[in-house]
Amino acid sequence: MAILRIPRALRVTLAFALGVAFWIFAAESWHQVLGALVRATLPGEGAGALLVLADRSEILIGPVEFPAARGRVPMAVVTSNFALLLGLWGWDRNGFRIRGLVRLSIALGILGVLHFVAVVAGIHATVAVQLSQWAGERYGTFETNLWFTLWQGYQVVGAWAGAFIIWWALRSSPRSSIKPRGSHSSDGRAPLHRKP
Amino acid sequence: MNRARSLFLLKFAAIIVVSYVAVALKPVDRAVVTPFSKGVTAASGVLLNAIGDPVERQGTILRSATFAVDVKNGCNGLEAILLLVAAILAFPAPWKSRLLGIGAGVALIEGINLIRVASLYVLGRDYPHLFETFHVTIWQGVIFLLTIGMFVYWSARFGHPPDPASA
Repeated sequence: MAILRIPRALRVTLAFALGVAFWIFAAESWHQVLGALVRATLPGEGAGALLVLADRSEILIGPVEFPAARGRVPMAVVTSNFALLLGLWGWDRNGFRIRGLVRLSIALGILGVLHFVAVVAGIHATVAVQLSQWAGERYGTFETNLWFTLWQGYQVVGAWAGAFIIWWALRSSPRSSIKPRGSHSSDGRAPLHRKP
Repeated sequence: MNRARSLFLLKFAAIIVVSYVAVALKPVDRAVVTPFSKGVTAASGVLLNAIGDPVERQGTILRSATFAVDVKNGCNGLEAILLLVAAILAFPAPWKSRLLGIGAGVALIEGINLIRVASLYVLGRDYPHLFETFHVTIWQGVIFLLTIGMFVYWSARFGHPPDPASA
């Protein structure tokens, strides 16, 4: 495949651009799948006083009778780390060979689970912070702070750190072609640290 | 996954959770993060004025007669710095190399972030329908891609090579 032979910087850029394009094309469908999964697993929210509505770009939560009081969980901030993961996958030359693609499938599966957990955290945080008067006494101070910190943490750094962790754990080979400082070899290891 | 990789990821996750909780605390936010965001806003304002886009700064807000952006957490580059610092601290390397990597990395991240803030301001003013996609997906992805790229380069060039016995 031609993409395997091109320089790393270009390969990463192309993989990231492909990720962005695919995300723009498919994100709305994925958001609806996530919304349906969340509704299926949080039956109390849907059937009770609080309604969960999945849109293409956000999840709306709020009392059935008062649409104006609804909170929202924006989905783009949850799922846009997909493009980063695909960009990182371009780092290793073997990333897009057959075994690399199998690993990529596993990575995307884990990323999907991460998205689901993030949406659940976002819904709990929104209900606990913005809709507490409708949520009864379900959220104490500790629960409110926990869900809010999880949701904020995911939005600020967790989404990106999560993609990095998944990539680092599943990448085909951590060995690099970058020459270590003080090394005259090209195999990516410093001679000083070699075992006899 | 070998032991070295697992250990790195565990350390990385622990450091990033602790550092995020630290910067999320209100006193730290007031004393460090908000002044930092104001500094980023001021520098971005200088950049925009220098390229002929006159803006006024008010705290963390850059505004003109037609458009304004608010440089909040997530737009000040601190999130990428946290990731870089956590990764460098978790990776086995001499402290001198770590300090070098963190110093150079922070400077690069903030340099790129100034371009991000300035470009988002121009984009939001002239092409508002593209603002959200560039704000949430493209620029954030680019910043983190470059940050992780810097770390991987640093780890290969300055970090200790992995012990072959654990591979």
